[in-house]
Amino acid sequence: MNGSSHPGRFAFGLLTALAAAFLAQTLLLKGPAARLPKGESNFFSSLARIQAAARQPNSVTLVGSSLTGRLPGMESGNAGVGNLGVDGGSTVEGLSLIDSGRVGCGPVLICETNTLLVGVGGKPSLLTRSVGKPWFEAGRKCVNFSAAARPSSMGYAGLLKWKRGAPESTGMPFVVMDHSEVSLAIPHEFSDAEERRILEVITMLGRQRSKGIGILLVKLPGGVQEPGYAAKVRAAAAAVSSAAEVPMIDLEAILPRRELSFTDGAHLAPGSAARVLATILEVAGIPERPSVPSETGR
Amino acid sequence: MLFNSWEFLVLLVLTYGLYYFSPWSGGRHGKAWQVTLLLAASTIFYGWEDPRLLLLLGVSCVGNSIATAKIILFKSQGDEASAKRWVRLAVILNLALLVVFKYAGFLAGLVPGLPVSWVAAMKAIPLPVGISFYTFHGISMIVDVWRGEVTRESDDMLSRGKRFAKGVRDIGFYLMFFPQLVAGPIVKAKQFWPQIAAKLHGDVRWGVVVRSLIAGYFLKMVVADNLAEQTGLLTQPALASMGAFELIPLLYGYSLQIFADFAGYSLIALGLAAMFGYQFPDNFNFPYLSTSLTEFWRRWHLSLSSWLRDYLYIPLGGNRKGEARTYLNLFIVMFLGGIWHGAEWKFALWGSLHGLLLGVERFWFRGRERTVSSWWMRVAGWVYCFQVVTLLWLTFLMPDMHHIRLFFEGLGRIDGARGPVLYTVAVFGGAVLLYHAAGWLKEHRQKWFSRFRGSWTEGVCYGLMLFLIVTNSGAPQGFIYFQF
Repeated sequence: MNGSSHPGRFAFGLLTALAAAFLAQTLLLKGPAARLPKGESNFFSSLARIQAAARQPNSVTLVGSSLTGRLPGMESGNAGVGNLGVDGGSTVEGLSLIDSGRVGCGPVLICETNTLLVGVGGKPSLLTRSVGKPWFEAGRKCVNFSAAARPSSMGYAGLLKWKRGAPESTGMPFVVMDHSEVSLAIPHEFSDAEERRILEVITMLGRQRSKGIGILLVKLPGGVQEPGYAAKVRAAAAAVSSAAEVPMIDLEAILPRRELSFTDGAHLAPGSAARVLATILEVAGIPERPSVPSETGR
Repeated sequence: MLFNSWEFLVLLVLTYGLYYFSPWSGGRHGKAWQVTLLLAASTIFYGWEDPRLLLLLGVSCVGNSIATAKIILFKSQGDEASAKRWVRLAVILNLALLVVFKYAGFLAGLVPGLPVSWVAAMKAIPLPVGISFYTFHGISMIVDVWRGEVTRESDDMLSRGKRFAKGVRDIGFYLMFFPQLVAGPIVKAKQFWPQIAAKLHGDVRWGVVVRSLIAGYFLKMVVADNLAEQTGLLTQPALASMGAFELIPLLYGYSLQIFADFAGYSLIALGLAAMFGYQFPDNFNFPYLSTSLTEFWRRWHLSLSSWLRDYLYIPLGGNRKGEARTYLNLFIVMFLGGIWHGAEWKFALWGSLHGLLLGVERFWFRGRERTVSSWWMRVAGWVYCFQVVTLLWLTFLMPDMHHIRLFFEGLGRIDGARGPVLYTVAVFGGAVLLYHAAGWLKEHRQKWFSRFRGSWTEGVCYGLMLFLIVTNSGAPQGFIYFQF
């Protein structure tokens, strides 16, 4: 080995450090560190959820944005719930992953409506392009290479846990609404791109329905939208619900914001996220509800 | 094709295997086989995304080969005037290529009264990847041959036919060799040409290969790509709502990211070249240790600084034509160096400000000892240099002056910062600081560093970097310097 005075020692140090680092990572992954709901990177937080969801069959699959991403899925140790929430993305990204067969879908599909019109007219995101690629597959098959196993993400999650401390209380009564109560036929002007987006969602949902998958559209509590835009999104969701013949619920009508906690005014805090998920599952009539973990204070 | 893509890995492994272990690798035709193979691999590498780009590169190769042959021919006949005419013609044609494909739209926008459709047509000319680099390689070839610094091998080109074809092949190889093709380092012809020869597997400097590749991929994939996810916020609509506590860390983050991105690329290029038996000059020498801008430019993008010095600053007269002319030359070189990065006023502004500050430093140090000895002066110099360099990177990052204004307006807002921003800049930016701390030890604690070099503790550092490359790389991004 030129340029190195002791190639043997150098190689020994290199290989030993590599082995020790993998060993330490493996040990950490066996503990709570393996449950990584949110790392420092939107991209890898989303990828971690998708990898976890793609690793084993789901009984419920969630698609949406970072609002959905906060709901506890398999990546948080919540067996059976595949969470395809894409931070900074929209419902369409998760739906397109399912529609293209790159990620499997459970018998029940929950679609967030808050971000139906986010990223309209844009190109497919880097995240959706990454799913199915060699790195993604390596991470799906071997947890050490997964997005959830990134040391920096584990460090960030640990910091969050340390900072946020005690769990929140839950246990508010759930109110179930029939979708017809909130199926709004709000007349609204959509741009061509928005119309294409709505049609795209209807088409993808139609394909899933034809496979016998039960679908529920959900407006999640949280997120911050300008009133005019929020009305447009509601109209788009109503149009999808009506055309695809899938029920829709507005969770904000059921669980008012004041009864929920948010980490930043937009995204649900862990306890509230667990409660919202429980409500959704109850509304969806999931016979055997996947276990929702007790509050972790993540 | 990107160095951090799977297709590149496949190309590299195949090329490496065929380069050293095919039946044609040794013996009489070893050089021909290896150079042709690398030329073919470089063609695939460059044409992978858009094969049409190869046409322009082919024109550059053949054009520079013809000019080189002519210059050698006339020089051997003692016809200096004709040789000089060919040098001028070749340099002008190389620059014309750059002007048409890189600056036409920009220049057309400056001409008053030009029909809008013409301006639009010129702005629509696509920028071929790496044109700034291979054009500079072409000019280096021409000038070094003219100066007699590249001679022996080029004499082969005196004859026509097969020998000329060999000359075209070798010049094409120099221009296209894939590690340096897209973003440098800008290896001068006089440095590269003597190295073109048959290579043996046993001669590979594995220490250089392993260190360069691991450090390069670590800086690029772990540091720069992770920082990019956060610093990218500065160019998005979110900029308008950010406050000082986010903007300032993000600007420092970008300063560290651009170093990690480009130094990482350069190290990968250096390691790849070493795999095939070629030695590239260092492109970075711990630039953020600099205590003045003058020193910064002796540590940052060394191959460009050296190119500009040899082929622009010295031909302009350098510092040999009086004080005033020296300042002017300095400014011209930095202004053109800025414009070289892109056909936009923001790059001109960046280069001009560097040129002005270099002039101010030169004036300040006039008649004084250039190296400051007291530690507090060094610290003060380091603080000044790092702040100025970082601030000026704003012009690189921001798409236009409006965004720069938004940045400064945001500095007036005192809001809380998002956790991921601070965490990412601290963790991944910290890696760049550690890298420079190692550089400081290398320069100031040489005895200690020489013991560290090749030891198992150094191996541990590289092992950890390798682990992080595999487990903690960021979302794949293109190299920043590819756009230049």
